[in-house]
Amino acid sequence: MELRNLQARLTPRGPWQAMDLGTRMLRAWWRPLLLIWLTFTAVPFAVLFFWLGAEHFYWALFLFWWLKPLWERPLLAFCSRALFGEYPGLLTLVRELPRYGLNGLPASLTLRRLSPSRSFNLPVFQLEGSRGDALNRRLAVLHRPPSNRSGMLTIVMLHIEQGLTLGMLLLLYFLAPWQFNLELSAWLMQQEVTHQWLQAVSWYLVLALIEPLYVACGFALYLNRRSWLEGWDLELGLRRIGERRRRTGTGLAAALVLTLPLLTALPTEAKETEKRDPQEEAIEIVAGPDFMPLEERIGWRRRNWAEAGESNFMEEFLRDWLSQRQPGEAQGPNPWPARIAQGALWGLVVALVLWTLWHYRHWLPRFERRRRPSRPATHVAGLDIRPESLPDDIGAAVREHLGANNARSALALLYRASLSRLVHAHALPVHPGTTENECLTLLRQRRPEEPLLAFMGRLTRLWTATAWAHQPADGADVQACLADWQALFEPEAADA
Amino acid sequence: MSENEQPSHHDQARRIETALNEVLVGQPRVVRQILVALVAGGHVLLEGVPGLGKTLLVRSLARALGLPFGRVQFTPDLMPTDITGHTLYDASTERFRVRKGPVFTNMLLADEINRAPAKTQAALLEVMQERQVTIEGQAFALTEPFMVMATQNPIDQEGTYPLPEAELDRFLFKVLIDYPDDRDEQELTRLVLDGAIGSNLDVAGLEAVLDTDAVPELRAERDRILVDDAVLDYAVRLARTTRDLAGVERGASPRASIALVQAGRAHALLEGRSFVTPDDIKAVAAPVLRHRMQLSADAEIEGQTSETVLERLLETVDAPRQ
Repeated sequence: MELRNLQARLTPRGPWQAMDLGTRMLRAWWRPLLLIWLTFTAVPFAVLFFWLGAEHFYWALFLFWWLKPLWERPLLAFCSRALFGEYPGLLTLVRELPRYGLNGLPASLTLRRLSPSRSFNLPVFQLEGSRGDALNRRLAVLHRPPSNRSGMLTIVMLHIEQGLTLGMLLLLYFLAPWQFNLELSAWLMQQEVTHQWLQAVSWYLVLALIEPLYVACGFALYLNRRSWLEGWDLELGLRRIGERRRRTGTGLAAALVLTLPLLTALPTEAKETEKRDPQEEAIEIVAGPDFMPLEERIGWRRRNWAEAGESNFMEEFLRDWLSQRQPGEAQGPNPWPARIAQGALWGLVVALVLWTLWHYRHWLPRFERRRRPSRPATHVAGLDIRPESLPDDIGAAVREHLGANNARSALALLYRASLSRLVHAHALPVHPGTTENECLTLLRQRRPEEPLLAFMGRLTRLWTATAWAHQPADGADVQACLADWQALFEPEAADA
Repeated sequence: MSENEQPSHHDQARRIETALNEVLVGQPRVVRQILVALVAGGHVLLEGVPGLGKTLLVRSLARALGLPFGRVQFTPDLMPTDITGHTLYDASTERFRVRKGPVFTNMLLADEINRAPAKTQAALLEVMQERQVTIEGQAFALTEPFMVMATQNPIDQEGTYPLPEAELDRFLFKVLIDYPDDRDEQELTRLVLDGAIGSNLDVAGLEAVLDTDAVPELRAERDRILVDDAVLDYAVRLARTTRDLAGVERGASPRASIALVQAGRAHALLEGRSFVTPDDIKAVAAPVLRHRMQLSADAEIEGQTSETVLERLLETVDAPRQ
């Protein structure tokens, strides 16, 4: 590895910027990387699925997934060399696979298989070749804080991989002619051989895109870490300066050789040789643009008002409000704006509550209905049954109607009075929509006493026929009902 | 007075009802609603999961009335002419002749009506409304009584074409058929095992309890049932209130008011009365109104159903005043 041949400019970067370098690598070398992936994995993939067959489809998927660290090694071998200007061919990579592909492979496929930093650790196993305690120490150094975000890289890539696979299946679903009557959930969960192959091939194609990117990003993170730890950028900078100074020194010597005769021929002024301090010269070099390039960043960050010695109205207001500081207690701002704002906020809350009540007002009848049984009904079947709407002496009023040959009014009054007693004295749970027969049914459920039921049954039949069939009631029937009513509801009057 | 004024017609209706209840065990409410629709002269949309005896009910009804029965299984590829009929060229006579479809019957079961596209549904619904079929410009009247009982499955909605509101309105009733209770299901199983009911919907053992003129007579008698103005007003108020009810986006049409009164009359006839009471209107309110209302999205999200809304409607609308 010769740093001078680096094809990228290495400087200490943040993890996400380092991953950008990985994407640049993929963009630059996507053809060889894709070819490498297909060369090293297509045959194993097909063999694995044909060998295990449809019955063990998910085992085949699992095995191919588990062997990912092995499939990633040729990709890293190419990237690691291409970055330094050497582009190995396919045959070279195949021939050298035993050399670079076995370093630390058992650990990669067992203990460290599920490591979220797989792509970051891969160069350590494959390129550095460390083993045992040395490997552990090396990994500990590379994984020192701050985080290199390699775990996050794995999580993100995993989601992209799954998302793209699902997307490819959905694309096939949408492209299928509608005559097939495909159902989406069934399509995604199908277990047929053809569908399994579609799933597997979709996943494999997605891996062809994702795996090179994953390896390149992990490798870029590894390089970035080493730049921070080992000062690769400093080394490269010093080398560049050294080379330039060497070139400058050679040119100066040649010029001196050529111009020396002329200089000796001309009269010269006495001149003091300038001797520069080596320390100052070193500082000048280090501070120069070649050694430490300046970087300008423009962005936003929160201003620290306390340090700046200035006051912020909103911050002060919120602080006063939350700490319940009284107006004028400290050097707080004018309390009136705060009070107005507070009042406006309370107004907003009240308006929100009122709007919610209005918008969901149709919920209210439910609660009202739950409360209703505690309040006696005032009207049943369109009849006013409030006690105050009835005459004091029901018997006398009924007889008066009968005397006026108005049996219908007498019957209506008797029916109203009966309902009023049942609702107010016996708490029969009726509502405005209750009909005559429903009242009878309720009575049968709540007050199954035979005399009362028989009376109400007869009275309801009489009233219903009068009201809805326009059949005039017989005065004698009404008289008989009145006697029964008094016996049931006013026994004293009946005895009298 | 009222109870025995229509003994013959009431008895006829009771005989049909008893016969059907013996076959369709555990569904007396459904049987009653079907008979009310039959007497009212309307069509019925039956909704229930498979296996509850919807086909058996229609076959039994046709058998008990001694009327022809037809069945059309609705599928996505069903064409209107598959229902109504079409003309075909007869090579022997060198003339076109009309081939009438299965709709030319008295009792038609339109099984899983929502599986056919709107064009095919519309063909049937035109027949329901006009009671005639036009084939190649020639109108053919259907024989009375003509009744359509369409079924749909409330669960499996995949690949179905929901009936539009205008078409739903053509159905007098939407009847919900539910599982029988434990005791009735035991009895039903026993009847099938004993051979009293054929397990393959065989209703050959069921005798015709009425002659073919019975239904027109029942309908004529229905028209003589007295409807008080207050009861009519009650039916109209019920239909109108659905339009202003909270949680209802679209209420019932004026056709619903007419349906309430007609069905109320039929219900009164089956109850053996010569007049309609508010109870008759209430008894038919749910099957008349439930498919004529469209709940708002908010109400559906809150878990309200047509049944809960109707329950609230019947509680809040004042019963008629006399």
